[in-house]
Amino acid sequence: MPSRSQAASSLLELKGVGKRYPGVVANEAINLCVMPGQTHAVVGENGAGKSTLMKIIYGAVKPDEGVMLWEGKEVDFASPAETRQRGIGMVFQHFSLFETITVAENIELCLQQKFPKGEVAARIVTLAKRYGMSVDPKQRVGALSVGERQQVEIIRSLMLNPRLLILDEPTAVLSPQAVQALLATLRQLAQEGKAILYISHKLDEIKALCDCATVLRNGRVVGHVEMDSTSPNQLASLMTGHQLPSYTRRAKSPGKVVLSVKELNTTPRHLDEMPLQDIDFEVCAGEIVGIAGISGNGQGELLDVLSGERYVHGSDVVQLMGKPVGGLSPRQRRRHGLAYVPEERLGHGAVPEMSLEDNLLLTSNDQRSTLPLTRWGLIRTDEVRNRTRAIVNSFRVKAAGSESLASSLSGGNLQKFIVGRELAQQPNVLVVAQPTWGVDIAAAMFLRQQLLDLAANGQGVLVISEDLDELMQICDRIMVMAKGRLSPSLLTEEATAEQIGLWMAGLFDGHHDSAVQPSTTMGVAA
Amino acid sequence: MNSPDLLTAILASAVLAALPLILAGLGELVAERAGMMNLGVEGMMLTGAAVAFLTMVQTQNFMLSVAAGAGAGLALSLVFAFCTVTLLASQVPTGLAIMALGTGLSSYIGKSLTASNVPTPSAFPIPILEHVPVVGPALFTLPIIGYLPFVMCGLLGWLLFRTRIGLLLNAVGESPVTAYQLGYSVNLVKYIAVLFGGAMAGLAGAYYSIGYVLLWQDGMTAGRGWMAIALVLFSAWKPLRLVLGAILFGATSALQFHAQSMGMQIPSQFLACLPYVTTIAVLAYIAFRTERHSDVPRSLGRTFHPLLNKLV
Amino acid sequence: MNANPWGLKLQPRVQPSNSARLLGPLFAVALTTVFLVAIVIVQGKSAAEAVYALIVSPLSDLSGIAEVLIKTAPLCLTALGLAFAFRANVNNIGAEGQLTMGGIGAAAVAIHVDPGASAGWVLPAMMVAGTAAGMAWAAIPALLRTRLNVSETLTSLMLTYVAVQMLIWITSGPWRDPGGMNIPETKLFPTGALFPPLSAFGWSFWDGTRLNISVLITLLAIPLAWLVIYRSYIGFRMSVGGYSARAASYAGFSAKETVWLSLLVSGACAGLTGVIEVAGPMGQLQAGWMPGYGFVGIIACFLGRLNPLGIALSSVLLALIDVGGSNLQMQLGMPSAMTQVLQGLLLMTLLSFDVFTRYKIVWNGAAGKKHVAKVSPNLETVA
Repeated sequence: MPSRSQAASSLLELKGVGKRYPGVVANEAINLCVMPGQTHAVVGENGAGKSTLMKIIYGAVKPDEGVMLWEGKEVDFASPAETRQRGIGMVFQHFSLFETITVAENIELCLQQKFPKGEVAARIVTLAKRYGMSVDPKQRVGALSVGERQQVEIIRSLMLNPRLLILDEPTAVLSPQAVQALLATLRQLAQEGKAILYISHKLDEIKALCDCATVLRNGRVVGHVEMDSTSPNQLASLMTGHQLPSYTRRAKSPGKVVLSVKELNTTPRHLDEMPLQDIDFEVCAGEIVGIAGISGNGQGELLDVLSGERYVHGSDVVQLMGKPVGGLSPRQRRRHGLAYVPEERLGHGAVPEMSLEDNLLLTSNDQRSTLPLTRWGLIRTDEVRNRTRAIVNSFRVKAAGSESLASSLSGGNLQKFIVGRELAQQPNVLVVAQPTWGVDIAAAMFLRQQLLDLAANGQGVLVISEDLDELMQICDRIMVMAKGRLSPSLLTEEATAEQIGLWMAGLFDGHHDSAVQPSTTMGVAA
Repeated sequence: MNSPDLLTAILASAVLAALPLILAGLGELVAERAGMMNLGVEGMMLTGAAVAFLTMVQTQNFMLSVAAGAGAGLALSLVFAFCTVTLLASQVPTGLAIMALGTGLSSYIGKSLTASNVPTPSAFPIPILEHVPVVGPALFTLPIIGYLPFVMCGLLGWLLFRTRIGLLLNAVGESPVTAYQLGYSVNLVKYIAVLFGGAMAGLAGAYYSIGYVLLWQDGMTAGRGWMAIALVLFSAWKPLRLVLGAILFGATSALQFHAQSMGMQIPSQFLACLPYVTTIAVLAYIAFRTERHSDVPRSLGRTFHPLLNKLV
Repeated sequence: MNANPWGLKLQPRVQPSNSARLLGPLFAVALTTVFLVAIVIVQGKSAAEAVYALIVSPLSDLSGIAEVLIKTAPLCLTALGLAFAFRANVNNIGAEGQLTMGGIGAAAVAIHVDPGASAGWVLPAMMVAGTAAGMAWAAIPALLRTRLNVSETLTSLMLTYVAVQMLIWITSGPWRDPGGMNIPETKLFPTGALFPPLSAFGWSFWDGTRLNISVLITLLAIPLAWLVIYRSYIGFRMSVGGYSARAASYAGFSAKETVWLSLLVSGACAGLTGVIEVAGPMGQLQAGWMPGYGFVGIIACFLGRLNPLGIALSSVLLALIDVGGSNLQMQLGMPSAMTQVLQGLLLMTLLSFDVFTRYKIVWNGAAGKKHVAKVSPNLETVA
């Protein structure tokens, strides 16, 4: 912790900050000290409380306890507008951008002062050039890629010349090359004397960029380290409280094909949809296949086709156990042995306003082997209740009861329930999207082990995830989805981050992807 | 009647019939751009009509009555805003409740008005322009209040697309969560948008009772509030298109009056169906042109919960 | 940001509050009564007399109770059908039009029947015709929504106005009673085309009132609706569609099926209600016929929280206010439109109170940097 004389010259200091939500303690007794010009990381796993803390600093959320000092003087937890005036800029994890208006208009909405129309655009271009970004002020944000949108976010926060820049999980949605570009920009900002508060759980980036790190676990500060004297492993154990996770895997040679997709092509039905081109792959019994890639490159469309929520011409475009299912509905596909865990838990995989029992009934009435949950059109409530309780028990789902609403469960517990529900159907193929997104560490490990067990049992698993580390940990083979196309598959042992990064830019199949932006100076197409 | 005269007459009728639709429609357009769908327009129009008529009968002051009508609409929309923005009630049933309330209130007030009548408002022709062939007499010889819808259209067109206020309104309608995160008072914007919608609906009703029909009939607007809502959809939330659509709708009403002079022998009830059938046809047409989906204010109809910072 | 001058704050709940859900209707009734009293006093009349005329005097004798029941049964039936639709997030605002068409369908049979013909098949035929007509009228918005994705809210409503015009036309023209002095109405239906009074089943208790056996239809409909909504798989599928279209798609529940079924069922109920009206108290078809059940049914639906039992209770309340409204007019000279005002107020106040199911009020003791918010007992540390 900084000494008294250092504390006097600190830029931002938090003392005893706490925040509780119904049923959850997000932050408790947080102490944080950022010095001027310092690149300070806030490290922690999913759910450790980092985002909430940043929102408190920024003024979007009011804490229940605690004090904040700016430049040594105690200040109010003000509104975001006042915080911006003070000199704190924030780049959100989930971008605060309006898709239907242009870059310049978006940035205008953030500025208190009114600039004449042309001046905003001019400043945008100047700032972009200075930090090696390319942003066109007149473009509609909805048309920009994820990496470009983040650049807009950064420029927006730079417009007011902040002394402290906060970035919340900035690289979660970037390709490896784009990450390097971002780090370079941030180093340049640090050299100019700006302090940076960098929230992340990516340890190698933190090592590469930051001077020091404050570690959060379970909503509390568990340590503060200087990066020169700390290794990523040490940081990891501080973060998780134990060693890096390891999973039990059984070597198994893949069996017959359980899921195959052949020559899948789609045309976009509305504005921001990605067309799929020539998607071709197979999943065999006993193997876990991963598809890496940043969201927005066609994963959603592919998942819709696989689940049956979107029909395509040609019934053998998708085949389950060798049977063409392209024209079948989701319920029919379940009868053929497909189970699917969507990316969005609330609102897609489960209905928030309905109980766990009702959510069980959502997909489980199509089972092939066991007793049906309905008889003569009426629901058999006892059977539903028993099955729900069985899943809650075997997956250790923390819930008030089988009648509790899906919205009352934490992310990790709801995900466990959904996965449990799908696995209880004893599928031949499990398709799962972002399996551990927003899930706490214990549940994440549990779920990954479940997937491994499923494969070990002879079923096939397809995992679509943005989390490359996760895919490397559990998959046998990896493919990359970029701009609606699928790369060749690579055995996980042979895959490297660089290779994957290149494929994320669409550079596969031996020829250059014409969709790569020619204007990016760093060779990034994120 | 020879053809140009007939055409002028039809156009004149169409414009007169369109005026309340434009007013109510523009009001709802602004509300919807902020994400608020107020289904109570019909009720607000009727109450505005009743209050305006009552005020006119008692004070004989046209401007005051119009203001009173607008005020009545504003008051009802304030209730709507309070229930949906502050108390987070669902917009569809609340709007229907406002419709029921407004309809009831107007019948209640109107009971004493059935035998009364009000003077015809004096026309306010615009010199020179009123002599333009065909279009002139239709568009430029309106009573002074008749020009308000067009003025409002121009004003809104400028406000929505060229000013920062308009930018903010559209932003709130697209994503209140994002606007809130940026520190804007989303609730205030929604309140203002809804109140504007209510005032306009009341104004439309006032015009209808003391500027157009000049008599009191129970339920006199006969679904025009709903047509205004359909018009907003048709216009893709753009004021100029709304005006044009309203004139089209107005023409269907006009046909009712002029059918005989046009030599059509159709039972009057069939003609009376025209506006409603046109509405359905127009809705089917817009839905058919699917790219319109991109124009919908994305948070339309959904409740924004500031404390949870999400849309429901 | 959340600066609240009174120091009161809304705080989200973990689970919706059941006590708030139950208190809501009581609160709505209480607040509406307050408004009524205020309006009455402003008009210089006696509040006690008004409340008596509205609530008590309709129930003071058998024929009064019968009148309330006569209005409750069709209202409840329409509302039950609408519950289907609203639960599935299908906004059928045009039940009044479907009801009108139901009446027209029934009349189509009734006026073409010989007065002396054997009565056995007539009434069932009317019921079938009317129900089918209501369903057909509701099928139009269903078709537009499933084929062209047009919102059923506006189309169903527009069709109501069309149906009204059709009614006027048909009673002024083709079906006008030839012996009837040019009034736009059909001839009176023969006895065989009317619902017999309850004494036909041996219940002479209600003799002398206008109550007829059609109430039994509603009585049957209530438990049937409950069963389908809460216990049947199809009801479940439709509810999921109402909560989340995406989850329904994931589950493989057909959105089209949901739309069709909900509109056809609510159209059928409304159509049948139309039959009950014309083959009951009215005994004929009149141009000015607009019972309003299609609109008040929406209020009954939401007031009853889309729950069949709740709907039954709200229907009684709303029907009571309706009958009471005429009393208000006769005894206190207040316009009977007070009924509509009160009905709108009831719904409004209920919807306003619903906020408390999701949030609770918290006292913001010291508005400042240090204060502890109330939290619910089962704290779960984010792991």
